[in-house]
Amino acid sequence: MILLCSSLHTLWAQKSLINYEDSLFSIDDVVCVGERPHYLTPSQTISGPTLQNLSTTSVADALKYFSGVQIKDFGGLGGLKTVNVRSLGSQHVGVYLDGIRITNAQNGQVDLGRYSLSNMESVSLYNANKNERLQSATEYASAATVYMQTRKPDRTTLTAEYGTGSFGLNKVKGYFSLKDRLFVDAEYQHTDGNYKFRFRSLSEDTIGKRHNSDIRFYRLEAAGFYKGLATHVYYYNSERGLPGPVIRRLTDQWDSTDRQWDQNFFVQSSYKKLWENFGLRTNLKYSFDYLHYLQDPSTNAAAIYCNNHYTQQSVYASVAGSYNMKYLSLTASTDITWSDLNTDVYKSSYVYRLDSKSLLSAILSYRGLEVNLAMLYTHIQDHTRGNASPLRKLTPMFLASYKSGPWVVRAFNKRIFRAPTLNDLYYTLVGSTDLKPEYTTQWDAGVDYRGRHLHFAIDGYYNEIEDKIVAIPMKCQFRWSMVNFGMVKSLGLSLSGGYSNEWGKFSLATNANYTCQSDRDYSMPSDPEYKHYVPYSPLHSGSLIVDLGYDSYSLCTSFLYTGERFALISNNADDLLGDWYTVDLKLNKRFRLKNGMVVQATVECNNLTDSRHEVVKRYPMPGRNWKATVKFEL
Amino acid sequence: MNRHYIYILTIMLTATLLAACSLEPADSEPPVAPTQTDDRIVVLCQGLWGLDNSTLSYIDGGTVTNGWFKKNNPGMHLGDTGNDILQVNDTLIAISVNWSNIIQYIYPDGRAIAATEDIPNNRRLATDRRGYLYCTSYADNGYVAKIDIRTKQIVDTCHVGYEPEGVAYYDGRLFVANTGGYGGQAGHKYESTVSVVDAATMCEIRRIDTGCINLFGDMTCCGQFLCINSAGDSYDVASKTVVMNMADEEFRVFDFPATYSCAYGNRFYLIGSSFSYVTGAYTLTTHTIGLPSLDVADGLASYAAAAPEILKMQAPYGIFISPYSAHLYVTDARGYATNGRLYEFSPTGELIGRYPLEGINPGKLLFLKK
Repeated sequence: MILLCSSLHTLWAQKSLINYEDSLFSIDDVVCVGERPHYLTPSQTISGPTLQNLSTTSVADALKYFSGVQIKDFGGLGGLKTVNVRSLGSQHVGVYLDGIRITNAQNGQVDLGRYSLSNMESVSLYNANKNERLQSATEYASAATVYMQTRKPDRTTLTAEYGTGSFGLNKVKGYFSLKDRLFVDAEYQHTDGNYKFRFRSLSEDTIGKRHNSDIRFYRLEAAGFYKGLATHVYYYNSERGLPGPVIRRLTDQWDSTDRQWDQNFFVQSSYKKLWENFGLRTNLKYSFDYLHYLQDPSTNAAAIYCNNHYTQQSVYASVAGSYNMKYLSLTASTDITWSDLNTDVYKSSYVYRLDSKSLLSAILSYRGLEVNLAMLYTHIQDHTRGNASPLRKLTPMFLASYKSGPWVVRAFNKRIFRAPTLNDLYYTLVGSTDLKPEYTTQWDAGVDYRGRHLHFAIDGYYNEIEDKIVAIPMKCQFRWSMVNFGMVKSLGLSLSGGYSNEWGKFSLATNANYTCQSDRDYSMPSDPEYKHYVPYSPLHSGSLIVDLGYDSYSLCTSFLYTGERFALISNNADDLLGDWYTVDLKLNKRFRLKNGMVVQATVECNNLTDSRHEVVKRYPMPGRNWKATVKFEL
Repeated sequence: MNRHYIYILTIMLTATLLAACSLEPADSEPPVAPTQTDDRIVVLCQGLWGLDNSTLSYIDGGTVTNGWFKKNNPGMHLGDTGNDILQVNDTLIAISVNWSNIIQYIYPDGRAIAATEDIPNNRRLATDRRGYLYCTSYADNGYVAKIDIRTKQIVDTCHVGYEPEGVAYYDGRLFVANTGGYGGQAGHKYESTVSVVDAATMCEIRRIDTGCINLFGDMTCCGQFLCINSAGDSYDVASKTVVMNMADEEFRVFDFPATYSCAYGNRFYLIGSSFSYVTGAYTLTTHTIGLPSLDVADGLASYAAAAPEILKMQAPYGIFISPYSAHLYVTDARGYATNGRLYEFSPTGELIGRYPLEGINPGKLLFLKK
């Protein structure tokens, strides 16, 4: 009776941010999936025009506007950007592109700065996990999940784009699409990135300029769609400088000259087929990641020579089947991932990991009531010299919701772990094969209202993280030393809402969120750090997006606030990082030329108030900066 | 629509209530049994690499002043990873600040004087008490710099082995412990040599091969004797202790580590902390070596009663004996990313004070003259 899109709660959120010019109700969304909507876990989505109107370049930037999200950002276009949800830790956040997880077996961190928004339909965040039929076991295996949905082309078009901006930014982009069939997307960017910064406190007034924060990258992507089959190929190649922390120096002659080269490639394919009561979905993915890090004393006498290469590969296959009855849907799914890591780090040996997951999930729907019970079995076995013993775990989860009209009341409990990464276990002199998996337990209760123009959600939650494996950066940006936190408890409240409407040629879409969260360490009652605040967890954070449209103009204003937080668990006054806010503006105008060509001109101003702040201690963020883009569309 | 306004109002009210709470820095941990000792101590906390948070704490008569450098020098901070602190003469203290690539000079009252740049990746300090300061550096394949303390300028340098750590001055010669500790990534082997450098000409006279690799850790002088730690490779080669007689350049090797060491009277006091990546375990030991007999004893001689307390610490990070009060001090780096602690023991090894520090990795103590 109801055949709706892949996730209607996503769609509801989209609807409130919709500009009808670029409607999301494409035929494909409605027909192909055939599952009923679920409201079991809190979710947030930015999609369509609002996503494109945000003054952001990468997925990481867009996620900042979600409630409960903390982005670690080392500053600049080339700085590492990872996402953390409700302080669970970035390794607990699963990042999925079209339902297939992006993994990094080495350190479990996905640099979201590498994924462009230009071919994205939507970016969504689900606490716990998305709840659909036909989900793969892997999709249940993280504490929070970020979904990036590729835009399936709804018309045949060719676009070319050029942009320039502050700090020597130059970018060119080309995009070609064939309606409902394929797209090809290519991009090249370069920036010198040498922005000015200032640190001002009682103990310093440091003014300087970042050096060695340039990046150049190119990205090639293509995707094809045919009936239930979708295939996506991605290649990213970059070279960047790692400017390092800003520390007391008398001159800048010793500034970092560390360089990093990356290559990321994947090809993934998924196939979905639905019969009357039965559904089948299979995924297949191969990925290859290469990283080269060089610290060279010939360019910086203070540095010690370090020249390391890391190669990772992974093969992933999954199959999920579901059987749907009137009140009950059963899904069984099994996945297998093989991944390996080869490095020339001192005393490291080749390692490969076999990770298999199996899922049994039942979704009961009766009138407005929905209940999801799921059972996940994980088996991980590493193969290397002196490998850790295999990991076998069975994890259950419970989710329930009740829907009445535009109101949904829901609750979930999820207990899930992350396995220690290969770095955690085997990194030379840092890793420890005795590491236990890190468990998170989440309790959440909330209310959703989704009306025609207005939507909002309130959630209260309580999380526990046990056996927390914490990494602190040492010597090099991606080299970590392990600190065991034992236990963290978080209590939080998140509020999010949005309003959208249209009046003739005027349109308005707004989205706001606020999170209050207290994360405290409960590791050792005898320690002075007992009940201290966990590093990098602000008590307050919030955001606001106001997207105004008039005829062919659009103006998007986005505001981001992060409260004070400590950089270290000892919570000394010196470790308190000041609160900050940024305001970004993006003005866009579309012209239609006589020959039918569409030209789009965009001016962006990021950090309008020139806020001087750091997200990661001693890594300053850029001040006010500008960008101008022109785009031709055939 | 009216209902919507009520919701929004409720949300805003809740938000306002929540905004009333804010983050407060933690209260200082109260010192345990602060005693009236006469020791005046400067504690150098390294901080964490890259966080620019090296600090000094000052302890006078059992009272701790944290953030001592900042308090005495408004608008300044010490920098990134303070490695060594040395009293050069009655009015001058030198601090090597490793990743800031400076040597910071202060008066004994804490006021900053000047700083020497141009010794990148500096490590440890020594003085000849004749107006020169010597500093080892990992940069440029390893060298020692000679600084004229009147001008604070580098007057000469001498290449030694890879990654030189400890440096000592004896009778016109410098003894430099080479580690080669970055061999794994930089493509050379661990060093096992002590470079002997003529301090006047800054020329390397010879390298003494101790047969023990990675001479990393504290290096302590006691008259003509030098105690050097050999850290091993944390895999198959165990850590050892080398004691060298600088007068005749003879040495003896002992089968236990001297990761942290100090000297008092005619004795070296050692805490050995060895890590084996094969077993994944830290082993802590305590020893003394009598001079000039080189007699070894387990435990800490008259401070023996302190040993159980030391072995209970999360991460002992330095051992010191006050030349004025004969009290034994041991620092605990705890989690290496948390505030450290300083423990004080009486001459009979009884715990008489525990000072909480607002600083990370307290690596060095300097006892000020009365």
